Amino acid sequence: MNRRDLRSALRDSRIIVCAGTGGVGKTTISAALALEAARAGRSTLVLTIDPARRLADALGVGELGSTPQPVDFDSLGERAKTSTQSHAKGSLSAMMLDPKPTFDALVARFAPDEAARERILENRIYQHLSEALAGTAEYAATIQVHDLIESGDYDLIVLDTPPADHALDFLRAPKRMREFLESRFVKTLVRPAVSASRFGARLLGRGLERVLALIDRVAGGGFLDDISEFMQAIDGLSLGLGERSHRVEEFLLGPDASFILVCGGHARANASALDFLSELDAFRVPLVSVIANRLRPWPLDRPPRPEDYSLANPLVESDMKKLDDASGVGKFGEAVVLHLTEHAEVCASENRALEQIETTARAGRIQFLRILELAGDIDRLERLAQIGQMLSEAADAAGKKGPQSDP
Amino acid sequence: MMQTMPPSLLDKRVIIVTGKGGTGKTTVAACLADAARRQGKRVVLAETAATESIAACFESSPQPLGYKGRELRPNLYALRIEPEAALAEYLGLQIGLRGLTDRVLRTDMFRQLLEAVPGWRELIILGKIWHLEQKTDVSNRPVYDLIVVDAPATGHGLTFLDVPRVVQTAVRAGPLSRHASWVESLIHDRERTLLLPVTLPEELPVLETHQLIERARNTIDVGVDRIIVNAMPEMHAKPLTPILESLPENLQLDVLPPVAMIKGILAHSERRESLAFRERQHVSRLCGLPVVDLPFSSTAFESGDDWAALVDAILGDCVWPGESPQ
Repeated sequence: MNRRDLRSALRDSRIIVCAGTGGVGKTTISAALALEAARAGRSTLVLTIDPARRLADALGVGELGSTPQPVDFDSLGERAKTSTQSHAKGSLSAMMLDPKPTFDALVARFAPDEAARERILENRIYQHLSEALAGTAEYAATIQVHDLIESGDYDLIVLDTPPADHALDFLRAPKRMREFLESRFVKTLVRPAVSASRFGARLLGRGLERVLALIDRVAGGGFLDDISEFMQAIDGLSLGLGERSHRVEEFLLGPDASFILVCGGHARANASALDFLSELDAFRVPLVSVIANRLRPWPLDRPPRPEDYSLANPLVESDMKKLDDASGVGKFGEAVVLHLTEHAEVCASENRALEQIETTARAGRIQFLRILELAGDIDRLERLAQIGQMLSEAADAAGKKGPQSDP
Repeated sequence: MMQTMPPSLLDKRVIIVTGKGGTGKTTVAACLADAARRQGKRVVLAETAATESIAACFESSPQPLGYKGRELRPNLYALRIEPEAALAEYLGLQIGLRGLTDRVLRTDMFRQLLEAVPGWRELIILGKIWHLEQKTDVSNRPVYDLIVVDAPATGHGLTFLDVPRVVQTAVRAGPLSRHASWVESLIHDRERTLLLPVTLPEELPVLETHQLIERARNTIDVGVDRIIVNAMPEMHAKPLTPILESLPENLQLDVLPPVAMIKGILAHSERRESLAFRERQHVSRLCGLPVVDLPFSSTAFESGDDWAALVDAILGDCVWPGESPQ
């Protein structure tokens, strides 16, 4: 089987989905990957959810909006072209996911007529659904992704997923929406008989009758009528919505998609990264790479061992004395040693935290890449390119020594 | 600028700890609850995320808390508010017939409906928090002095708190609307409720914290009086780097790395430190709020000393960061 890795994903995939918990630099990794692909000659779009000022600055686009904005990267020069797009000139665009307008645009597009459109937009249940409540962002994101894929404007879309407790909230959104639209509950409520008379429910079995009675009791009069009105109004929409969400799901789990999981070096954050990993596995997501991002650099060949710098060690003591003497500053040596100890502790703690996730990834024959932290702002395209290059180099190195490198 | 100091966190009844994933929100919630019970408060610590992580802050081999929860330390009771269990409890209280409620909850139709209706989880979680706040003992005293909530880490950090308001626009009458309004008034009550944002001294978390606080003020209308800046480094490297520059590169050291590498490590740390101080000041200025620093731990809370340092810091004084030290 021809297993994919980050390299082949950048070269061949049509979508790369960056999953991971918040605060691990997912957005930066997404942008850096998109830049790498663009420099290698692909027409690329990075779709982000973070309104990071500095990311917009780094990309030189002023402000990220909900329409694709071209990024000028001529100053960087091109990367070595891959064989498939040897003569193409790559391009990079960036845009932000924006839930509300998309939902409204969807209604506008699929509503059978003006009156139906108005009825939906003014319905309280619709406003309830679309007012950025949990889950809506994911629904809307899948729809935008679908449109962008269908448009055929891009060779590759790099998708930065919304932060969530579960890796797959995003993937589940289309399925959840489809199940909802196709559910017996919804179909029943769409029937005018039910909204006109609660007795209609009696004809449909005791189970439904009970559910409706319960809702009526808790939510009070009028709520079911509102729902029913909403459902009737969106009946025309549901076919289009359901079909699209199905296609998005197929695409995201299909041969043209690659997932990467971004995690950090912090112990507790990695517990959730492990959860993500097993969830992605259970869902049979095409995961190509786990990226441990923003790790503290440890410049020595030997592993970081804080105990090496114990103040009780006579050799450390003599080194401290040398530093004090050479600098002419008392206690300078001790301050340096304490700092080195702390640095080694951080590096060692990151290594411990990453051990399990690395083992798990390797067991699943998934590329595991370590990316070092760049101290300072990622505020220029060059910095983003630097991260992209680190990613490519790490992927190349892993591909060469890995047992499952591509033929 | 008026630089007032907010009152003690222990004066509140409900503290909602919020922040983007990765900011250490859960650790902060756990250490606040621990600090409060050490001050003699009876505390309940409520977890709301889908995966449990609070027990791991207190136990080396953590057992799940579940909806029933348990006492993790004397006077510190913790639970995970599982939406399904909370819904069953709520409907049981509403209908009075537990058997009927359970049957309805188990039907496929009801499950499908729940899967698709956004917001119900948030609402029922808040309802449970309200319920905990209202709980009194035989002598009519509150059972819990303080409820610390580890808020869900959703993309829109405060969507959670906005749900009762939105629900009332969707549902006009009946018990649900009435209950949502009770929850909403608890959220608005400055005396009882405080939103405690946790951030990291980094660009994106700071930006998001600013947006979150704007939303807390303008849309949600919930009290917020300080920002927790977690994993705040000390200015260790900065004073050392100029001295290092003066050292000869060929200084022979026995155990320590070569001088050039020490310089590299310290230069990296110095840039991190300066960024952290800049972002900490930035978040305070942007939001017009003082900060409480929690120290950075190099061992990621693998040791009890780190925990004690956090517990000491969390109830400590707020500061208005001035110009970063030069």
